[in-house]
Amino acid sequence: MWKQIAGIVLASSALFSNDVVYFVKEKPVYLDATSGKVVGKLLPTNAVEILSQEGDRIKFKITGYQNKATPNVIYFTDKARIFSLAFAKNITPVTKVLESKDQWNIVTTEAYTTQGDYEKSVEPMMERASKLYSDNCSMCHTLNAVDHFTANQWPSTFRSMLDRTPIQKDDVWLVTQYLQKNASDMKK
Amino acid sequence: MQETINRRGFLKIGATLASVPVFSQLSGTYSLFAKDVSNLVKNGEVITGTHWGVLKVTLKDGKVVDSKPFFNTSKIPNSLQGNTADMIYKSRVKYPMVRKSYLENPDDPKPALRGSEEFVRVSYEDAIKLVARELKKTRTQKGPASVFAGSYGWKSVGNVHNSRILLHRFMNLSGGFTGSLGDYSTGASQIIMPHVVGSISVYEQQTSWPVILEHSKVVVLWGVNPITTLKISWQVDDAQAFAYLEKLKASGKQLIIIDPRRSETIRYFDKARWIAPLPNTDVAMMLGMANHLYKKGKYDKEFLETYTVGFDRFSEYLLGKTDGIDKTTAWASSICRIDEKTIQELAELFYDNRTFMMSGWGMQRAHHGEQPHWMLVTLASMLGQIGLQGGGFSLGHHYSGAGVPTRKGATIGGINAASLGYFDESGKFIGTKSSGSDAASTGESWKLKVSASSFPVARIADALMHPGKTIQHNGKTITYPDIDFIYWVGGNPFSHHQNTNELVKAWKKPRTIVMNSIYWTPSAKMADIVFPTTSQYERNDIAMIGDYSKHGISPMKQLVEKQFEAKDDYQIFSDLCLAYAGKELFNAYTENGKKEMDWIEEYYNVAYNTILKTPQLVTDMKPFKTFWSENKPVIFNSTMESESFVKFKDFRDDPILQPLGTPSGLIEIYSDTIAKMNYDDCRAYPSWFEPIEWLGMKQKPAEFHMLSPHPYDRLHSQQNQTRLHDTYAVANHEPIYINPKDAAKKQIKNGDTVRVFNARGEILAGAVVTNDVIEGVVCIYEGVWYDPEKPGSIGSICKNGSPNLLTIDIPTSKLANGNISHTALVNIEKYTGKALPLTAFSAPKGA
Repeated sequence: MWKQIAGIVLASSALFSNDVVYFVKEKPVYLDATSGKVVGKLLPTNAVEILSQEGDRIKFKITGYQNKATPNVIYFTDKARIFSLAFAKNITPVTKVLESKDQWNIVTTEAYTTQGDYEKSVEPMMERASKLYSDNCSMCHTLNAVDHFTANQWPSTFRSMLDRTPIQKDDVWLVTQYLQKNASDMKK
Repeated sequence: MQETINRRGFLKIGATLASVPVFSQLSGTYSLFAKDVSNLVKNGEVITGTHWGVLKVTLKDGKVVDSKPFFNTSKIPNSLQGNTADMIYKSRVKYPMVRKSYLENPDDPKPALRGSEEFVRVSYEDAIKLVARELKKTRTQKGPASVFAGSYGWKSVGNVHNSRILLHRFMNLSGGFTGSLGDYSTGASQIIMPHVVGSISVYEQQTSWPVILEHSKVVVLWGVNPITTLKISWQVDDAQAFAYLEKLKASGKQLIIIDPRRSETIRYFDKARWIAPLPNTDVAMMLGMANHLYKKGKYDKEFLETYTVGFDRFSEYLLGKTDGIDKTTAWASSICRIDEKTIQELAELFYDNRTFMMSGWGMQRAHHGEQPHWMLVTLASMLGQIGLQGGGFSLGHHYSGAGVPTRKGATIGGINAASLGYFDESGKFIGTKSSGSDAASTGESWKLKVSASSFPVARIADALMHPGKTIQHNGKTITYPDIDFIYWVGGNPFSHHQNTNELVKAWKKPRTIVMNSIYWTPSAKMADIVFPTTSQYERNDIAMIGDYSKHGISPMKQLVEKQFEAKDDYQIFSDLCLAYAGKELFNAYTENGKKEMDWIEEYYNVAYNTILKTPQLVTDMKPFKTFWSENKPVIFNSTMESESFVKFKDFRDDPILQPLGTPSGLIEIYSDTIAKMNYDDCRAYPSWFEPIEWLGMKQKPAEFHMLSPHPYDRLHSQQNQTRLHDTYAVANHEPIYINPKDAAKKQIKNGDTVRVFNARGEILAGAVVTNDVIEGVVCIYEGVWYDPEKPGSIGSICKNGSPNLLTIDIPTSKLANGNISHTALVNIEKYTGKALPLTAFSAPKGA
């Protein structure tokens, strides 16, 4: 009982409006604070602004790239298919266009997710992802440098190897995003 | 004389090592590696896992006398399973050995004498101190990139005693090394496929066998020999795939097998249709098929439009608009020597029926090896069956049981390569993270630095000979490091590398070469310092059964005492850590003194805890102690979902949300990425290039095309020394398969000793005259232990018959830099010289 109360106090004190946080795993996305229908996925390691807390949901805002041909996906970049927020095929999210160039809009959108599973800084989770990658992917073969593949190549390459590692389901998107964001074509 | 040298050597070592401060700590590790053999089974049966399956091993009076397969799933034999005793008792390195001149003066070790000079026995402690000191010297004087520890080979199974990873772990923690990129098996394909289908394809789960058996009408085996290659797996073989081959045979499906030789697989599928093109001409044959289908309108335009990019630009080449050569079936026939009618008939057969095309890797180990699989994917795209049940292509059904459905279970942990260690100014190990401000947030900065000097694995001889040279590789420029120290474990480069004589020359460049070796392989004989290493049967371990199937978990209980002075790789590297930088490095390496059994239990529990957390996973997994004492494999259950797995189905269902990893998200028949590289030896679309040597060339440097495929009775060079050798050797040499017409022309008879030679080298082989190879082609299996008449001497004849003395050491192209072992012309003649007795399996001078 005490633990639960302490947990709630901690959680709410962390939720000042306009805090930027990063989720550590894939999160369900809802269109409002109450509906039970999951309409999309919020992917880990992406900067998310917390707007408010409504019941057991968090209302958040995210900024990213929207391809005009596939408006249901908000990408991390316009250079590769790195998902930040992916809605189901039949959902076109309400977005505010900040900038438009060629095939792409830079947009913000708002949605809801469940409480928890976030951190205030992205570095520690990236470091954990890096260790998960190097520990598990050097068991069978020489570890490939992260820049051996492109951001587009990594998801299918990593997924095809995944069954041969003990990496847990909750960490799959974390490692995928880490690999994509450090891929050969994502260097600054 | 020998005595004096020995004593001098010992004295010198003692004196120079007095300055190594951790000398006295060395003995401290012995409790970790105590020779406790009290619980070994002396008489009875023990279950263990190997690359060639789970084995029941019989022991009598503490000696291994027999081994049999644990799984009896098919009638297809596996000759590799019965030779455990030979793998323990034959050709062993017994004691730590140092080459004489190296021992006398490591600063002037006379590398030119490598391979020819005698070895001197030293104590284990002295060998450890010597290696630690010389490694440190090399790193200090020439930098970490001058230490090459890519190492490469099939090692033994086992997630603790994983020699190559244990080496990398040691080399990372102790200060860094140059590694290698890619491998010999799939050098070309694993680079081209990510450009074409967005991932490496070759080491991935493939469409499940039950789907193929149910839905495919025609199965094409293109340059693939599963009856041989499915005897082994990278992990412990699950022995399931053979049962599917039996079902395929019984199904009566139309089987087309394309191969220049009648392989074991063609002989097994006795009703299959054998198509035998000239070696290295498959791309031309496929282009002929594509051209025919295009002109007949028999290709899937809708598939090409929806799921591929660049077919229009490829078709300009196909029709000759870019180079004036229409790639007709007549054109194809003139190159591959399969008649036009057959090419047309096959192309239409594939289009008219649900067809599954399985390809092996042999045809990409050839000059321009990037092209065949790219062209195969292009042909499959025209057929339009990719992602449909029983249709499309596969580059993996012959390997490690891909296609055997994945079972629902958990995966065990394993030893890993750790991170780069850092040292303070006094040389004290301070951990795996730099305290400096340059530590990147991702912890990747060191890896990027080290990987900058990494080079494609098959360029090793070129790199040794030409430090500082730059090469093109997949759009990047690589500068070879100046390698002065080589450490190799669990592999045998003098068997697997092309153009052995060039390798002998290159091997004389570095100052120091160290090996951990179980056996006196040709590579061990070419080293300066050799640690006698335990075989997998002399240590406890654990491994997964089935690379893709996740069939279960195999215990690997120690069978016999450690032989002679053999040490586990884990002990050798732990002791090297102590000698290199003391207790702190040792603790980092061993995670504060973990013993073999601690790791095994930990890795088992990684899987066990996953099972406990997932109640819907029903398994017979028990707590570790029960699992270990029962000595029985864990077997997981299969699921409907994986039984029905179809590769590329999700992509076919939704190419937008399930895109491939290519820039377009689609199959790239034309690649802008490759176009931008502007290479003259790999165009932006699949195309025919004449190989540097082949039977169709105008001025052939030699008469016959030599193929060197995966051996039937070995795992590459593993088991060459076993009793199997007596069953296949001819006149005590590796067999050479020769067509009767060629044999008659050269007056060679069955059983003759044959000299096989070209400008690169010469070998002795034993003639087998057979219709299993076509005219103009000879075949010698790879994986032969190089056995020079004059050890260490460049150009010496190989008495055992290793085909790699005759192969060419140039890259497939600038794109992938894979090896081209299947591109080589050779001459043959009856050998009439004096008999040269085999020494491949005996110890070198002084050992």
